[in-house]
Amino acid sequence: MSLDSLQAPPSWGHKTTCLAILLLAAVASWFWLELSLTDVVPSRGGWLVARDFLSRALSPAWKSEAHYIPPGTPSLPWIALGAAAQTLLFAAAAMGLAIPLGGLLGFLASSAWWSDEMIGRRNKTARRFRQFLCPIIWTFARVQIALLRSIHEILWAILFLAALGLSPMAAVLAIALPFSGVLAKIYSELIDEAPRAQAHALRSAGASTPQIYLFGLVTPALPDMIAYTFYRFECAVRSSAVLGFFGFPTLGLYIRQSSASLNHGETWTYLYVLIATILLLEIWSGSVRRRLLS
Amino acid sequence: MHALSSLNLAIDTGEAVAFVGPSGSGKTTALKLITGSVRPSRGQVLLYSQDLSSHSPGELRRLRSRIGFIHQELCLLPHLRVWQNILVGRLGRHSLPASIRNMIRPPRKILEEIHHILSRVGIGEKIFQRTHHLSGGQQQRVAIARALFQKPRILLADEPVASVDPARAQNTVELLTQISREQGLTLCMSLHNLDLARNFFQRLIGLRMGRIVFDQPASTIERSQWENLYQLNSPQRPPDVP
Repeated sequence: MSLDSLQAPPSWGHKTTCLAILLLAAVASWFWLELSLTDVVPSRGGWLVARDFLSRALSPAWKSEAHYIPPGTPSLPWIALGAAAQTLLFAAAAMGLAIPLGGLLGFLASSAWWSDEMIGRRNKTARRFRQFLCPIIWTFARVQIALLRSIHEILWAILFLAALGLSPMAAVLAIALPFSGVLAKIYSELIDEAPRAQAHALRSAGASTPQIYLFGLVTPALPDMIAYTFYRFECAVRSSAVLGFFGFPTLGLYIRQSSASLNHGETWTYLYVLIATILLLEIWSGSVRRRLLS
Repeated sequence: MHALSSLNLAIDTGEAVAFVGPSGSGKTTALKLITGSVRPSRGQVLLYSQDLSSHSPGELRRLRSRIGFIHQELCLLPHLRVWQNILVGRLGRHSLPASIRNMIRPPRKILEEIHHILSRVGIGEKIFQRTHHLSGGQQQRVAIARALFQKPRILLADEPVASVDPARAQNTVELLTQISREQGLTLCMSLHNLDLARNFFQRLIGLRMGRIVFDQPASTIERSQWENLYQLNSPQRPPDVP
C-alpha cells in the first residue's frame, strides 16, 4: 500500500480549533477587562506600605508588638504555634468529614460500579436495576458532587456563619462540604480509570460483585486516592488558615489582626509559621505519596 | 463475526490439552467459554455434564472458584504483598467481611498454606514482599500460585509464556504440567510456542479463524498441518515452526 493511498489526518483538527478558541478567549478577556501591565505598579502610598511591610520580612517579631499586652498573655511564638495547631485541627476535622462523604459519593458516582459487567444482566432484577435505578442514583450523585464543588469554601463559610454563628462547626462544614465534592469527583474518576484486567481476573476466580469492586477496582486505585487525599489535606490547612479572616481562631485571624494594627513584624511571624506548617506537611505527605506510588 | 464457530470438543477430567494457533484464532475465547466469562451465542458449554447457561450467578461463582485461570497479563495487584495476591485467588469462597479480615490479618494456617504453595513454585521467600518489587518471572509464579491456591479442579492458562525467555518458558510449562499431573487437574493451555506444545502435551487442538483445524495427539501431527495452521505462505510466519 503506497503512502498516497493512505488518508493522512487533517493538519488543523478539532483539538487545534479548541486550543485556538481558548487562546482567543484569553486575549479577548484581557481587552474586555481593560487590563494593562502598568496596573501592577503601586501608587506612592502603596509603595510606602509595601516598603514598611517588606522591610520586616527578615526581622520577624519574637515579642508582641501591641501597645497593651494583658497580663498572663503567652509569648508570641507560643501564640503562633497554638494558632498553627488550631489551623491543623480545623483542617483535620474537616477532612474527617470530607473523606467518608467523598468516598460514599465517589462510589455512587463511579460508572464502573454501575456498569453491566459489575451488576450483570443475568436475572430480571439485575436488568431492571441496571436500566432504571442505576441512572437515577448515578445522576443524583453527580449533581450532588457538582453542587458541593461549585461553591467555594469562603461562600460556604459566609452561609454557615449566618446559620450557625462563629462556632467551630461552621468552619469545619465550610471546608468539608466543597472538599467532599472534589474528593468524590477524583475518587470516582480514579476508580473508573483503574485497569479492568484485575476485575475480570477476580470474576473468573468466582469473586462476588462487591469483592470485585473492592479488590479489583478500588484496591488498584487506592494508592492514587490516598496520595490525592494527602494533597487535599494540605489544601484544607490553607483554607483553614484563610477562614481565620472570618474570625475563626486559626492563623488567618492573627495575620489579619496584626496586619490591621500595622504590626508587620508579628504578621511575618505568623506568615512564617504558616509557611513552615505547610512545608512540614508537604514533606510528610510527599514521603507518604512517594512510598505509595513507587 | 464470531470468535469461534462449529467448535465441538470434549475434554476429559485430568487431561492436559494445548490450544495452538495464530493470534486471533479464538484460543483465549475458548478458555473463557470454560469459565462462563464468555457465553456462546449458540450451542452449549457443559462442565461436569451441566450446561453453564443454566447456572444461577451464585452457582457460577462456586464453579469458577474451582477453576484456576492464569492470565496472559497476570492480572496481579502490584501494590499488594505477594501473600495478599495469592489470597485473592480464594475470594470466591469467602464472604466480603471475611475476605477483608483475611486481607488485613490472615490466620496463621492460611499463611502457612500460601507459603507452601509459593515454595512449590520456587518463591517461598518472597511471601511478604510487595508484588511490584518482583521480577517478571517471579510475578508469573505468583499468578500460578494464586491459581493453585484456589485448589482448582481445572487449570486454565492463557499464553502463560508469551513474554518470557525460552528457558523460563520451558520451566513454566513444565511446572504447570507437572503440578496438574500430580494433583489430577484438567489443564487447558493456549500456546504460541509449538515446540513446548508438542513436548509437554499429549493432545493438541489447532485453531484457525475460530475453527478447529486439528484435534489429535501431538505425535501424529504432520508438518503440513502446522503449515496449514499458520498459513506459512502468508508473510506472518511463527518463529518456531518445527
